[in-house]
Amino acid sequence: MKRLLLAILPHAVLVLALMFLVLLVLHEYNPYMNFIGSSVSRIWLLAFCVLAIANSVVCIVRERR
Amino acid sequence: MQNKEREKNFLPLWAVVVLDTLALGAALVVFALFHHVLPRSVSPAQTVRPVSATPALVWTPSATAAPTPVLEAAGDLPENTPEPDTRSPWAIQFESHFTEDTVITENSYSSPNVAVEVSRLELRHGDRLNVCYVADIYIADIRSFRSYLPQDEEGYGMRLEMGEMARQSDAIAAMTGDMYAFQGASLVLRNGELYRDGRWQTYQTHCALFYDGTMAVYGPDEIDYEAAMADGAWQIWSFGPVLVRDGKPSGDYGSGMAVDDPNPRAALGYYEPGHYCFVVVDGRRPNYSFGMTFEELAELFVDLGCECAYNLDGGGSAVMMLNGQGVNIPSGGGRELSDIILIAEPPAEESEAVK
Repeated sequence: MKRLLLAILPHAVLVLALMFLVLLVLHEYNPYMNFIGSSVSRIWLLAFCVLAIANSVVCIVRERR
Repeated sequence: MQNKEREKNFLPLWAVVVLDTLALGAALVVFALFHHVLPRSVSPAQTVRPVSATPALVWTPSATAAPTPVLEAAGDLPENTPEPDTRSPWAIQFESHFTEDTVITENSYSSPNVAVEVSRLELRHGDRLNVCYVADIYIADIRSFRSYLPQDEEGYGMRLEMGEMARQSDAIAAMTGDMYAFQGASLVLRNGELYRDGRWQTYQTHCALFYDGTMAVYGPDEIDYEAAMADGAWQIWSFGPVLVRDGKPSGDYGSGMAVDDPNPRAALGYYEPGHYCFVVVDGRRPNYSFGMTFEELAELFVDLGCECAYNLDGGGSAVMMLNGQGVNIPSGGGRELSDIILIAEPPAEESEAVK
């Protein structure tokens, strides 16, 4: 289970990063839809930040072993 | 050997790319679902009442009817005593537009309290032809200018077609609102009721209609919700951009690449207390009507003579109705809306919001 989670983690970060790239492009296309500033976007941003931190910690720990 | 065993446990690269792409698609679908597909339920949380210093144009003739002359102790009323005028100030000011009886034609409605006339304009911008409809509106009572938010058993936030909402609200004239249920989390104030308290979301533009009939527009971070409600805001909309301010184009229309292009539009204009207009521009039909940019729409409101004007939800949402009939040709056949603004006869009894 731990191996599976560690294997999925970088992919989750990648997917969320790509998702926000898409949202940034859509925001330029139509700012009135509020893709970046909405409450839904902030929840996904929070998840992205948490996963990015976790992924970074895992990478740093592996690097130091 | 160990490396070969490890390689066997990894998916091939193409499978990883496909799975990540599918995961990205799924994440975007889930985002869209919660962002603008699923309605967000709101419920009235507070009633905003008109301030005493700014009396509402909610007309109760008994309140300010002209006093009857004092009778002489032994005589009759003097001859030619004028009947006290019990009409509202707006009904007197705009009396040439109102009619004693209700008159309904193909493009107009008039009664003692409401006058609406829709005109069709064909405008040319460069090589683009644009068809727009202007509803010129006079009201005698502020309660005639309302919003309608359909609700189901879960509360407000549901979507309905314009025709059904206009029917449910007894609208004489109706136009799309600001799709409050599907954008942002700004404050939502309709018909004197506070439905969503987004007081910290001031970065959007706003338009406020007050109980005294005045209308004000606000750029990003300009509105003070507390002050607006204290001043007796009757409606607050949030979509934008601000098109006209103080009789001149605002010049600041946002930077969305698609939104700035010519599109179908719906917007609200203000002349003076009691006199307003709804404007809908058809678009996305090159052989009929191309659509307008915000700059062109602002120029139209300036040409109409509006003091201020505010853009509402356009595109496929731009719809206008009069006397139960559609006025324009909505792009893509229109769509379901979360709210409309409407003109109707004032309610017979004083509403709770204005007591």
